[in-house]
Amino acid sequence: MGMPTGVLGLLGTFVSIQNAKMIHYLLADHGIPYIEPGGFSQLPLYLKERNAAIFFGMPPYTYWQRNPEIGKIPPYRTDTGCYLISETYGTKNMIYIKDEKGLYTNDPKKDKNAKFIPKITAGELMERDLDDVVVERSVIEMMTSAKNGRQIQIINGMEKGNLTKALNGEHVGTIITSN
Amino acid sequence: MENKHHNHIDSLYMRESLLDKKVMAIGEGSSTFKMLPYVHIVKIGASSFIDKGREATYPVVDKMREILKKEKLVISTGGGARSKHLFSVALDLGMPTGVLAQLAGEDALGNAHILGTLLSPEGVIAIPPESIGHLLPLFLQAAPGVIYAGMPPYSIWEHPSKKGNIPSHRTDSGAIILAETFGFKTVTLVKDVDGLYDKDPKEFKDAKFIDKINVNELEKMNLKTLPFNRVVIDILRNNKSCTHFQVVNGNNPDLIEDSINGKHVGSIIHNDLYEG
Repeated sequence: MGMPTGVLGLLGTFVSIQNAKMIHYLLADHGIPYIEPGGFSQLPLYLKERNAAIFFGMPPYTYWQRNPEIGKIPPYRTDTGCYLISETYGTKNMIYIKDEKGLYTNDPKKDKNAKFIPKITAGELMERDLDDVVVERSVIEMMTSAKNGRQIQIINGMEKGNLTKALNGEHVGTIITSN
Repeated sequence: MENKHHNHIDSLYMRESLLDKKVMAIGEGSSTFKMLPYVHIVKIGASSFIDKGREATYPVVDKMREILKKEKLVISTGGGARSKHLFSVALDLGMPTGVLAQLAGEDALGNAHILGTLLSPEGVIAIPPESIGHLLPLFLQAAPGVIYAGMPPYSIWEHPSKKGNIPSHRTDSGAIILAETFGFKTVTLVKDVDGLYDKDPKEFKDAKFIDKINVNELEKMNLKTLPFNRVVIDILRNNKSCTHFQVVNGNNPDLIEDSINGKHVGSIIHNDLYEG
């Protein structure tokens, strides 16, 4: 229909809101709040009170979403939105839970010869210029200038116990570092 | 009878990774709908005008009044000296880039309201970024123009800066991204210099004027000072609708009108798609 990237960014935000709300309802009996971008000033309070908060991952760029280098799909999506929150707030960990063990040399769902990469720097990963990556490329690029968010870990949420291990600082998936 | 409206939707991206380069390239070259192709965006530099008070600002505002009788305008502005002061205080206090971006939005909003006050007789008011997006087409049918507090709503989601901690997406970038999304006719950045120079003309008398340049060439030159946010280079390179913008000297307010009318009166910075 000829929608510009800024409008695709807006539409993508709605999808992310729907998913965040469903997680919110699933966790409702734990008293976990759902916050919109304007509610982030309450984040420290919620974390102190309830140990968690849910937000939709899209950065709220909406009509101000920049064009990608190629194509029209918004380049700054939910991986980036979460990463930037970890960068600004200086969180202890930035963990991405996916349905793969982590980063491979190619999409392991399509390529059986894809090799697992347990640890890599953002610079090396950019140099490799892989056809498919497990986390948004803008996150990898931003990591090269990060002040706080200098490490991320991608883990497989299909394996029980992985998240607890990753929260304890264990290496269970792919770790990408700034340098 | 066969149900033709069954639940299965054939969608290009279903079951595909949006991180696969081949998938990402789909849509490249296809046309983009232009929402407001008759609208011009004019960014009035706050350091160049508003910070200098009435003497500098009123002639520009008077010119805007005149233009608003003929053309539909989005007028944007920045935080100017107040943002610079804010950055120095906030950096001293150890605030991260995202917090600087969040706070700077208020400076630009203050200046937008100053312009909105001066242009009230024309029915032109300042609209905060949260409501300007989807309501912009409506506002521009109802009034000759609107004022946009130029900071894009990146706030605590501002990208980490490549050098230092100052937010990279500021008001020039906000204007250029908005122009791309809405398909505006022209983008004019109004400053207190004639346009782009190979070095700061306020410091160096032998600075050479650059009247027109491709954004890739500009990047190669790696100039120390630019009369606009550096990230504009990366943004403009990937733009499809907004292929160029012009920097003009607002100390001669007639140049603003000339720029809107498509005349080359300052520095034009353009990408590969520009036809001019």
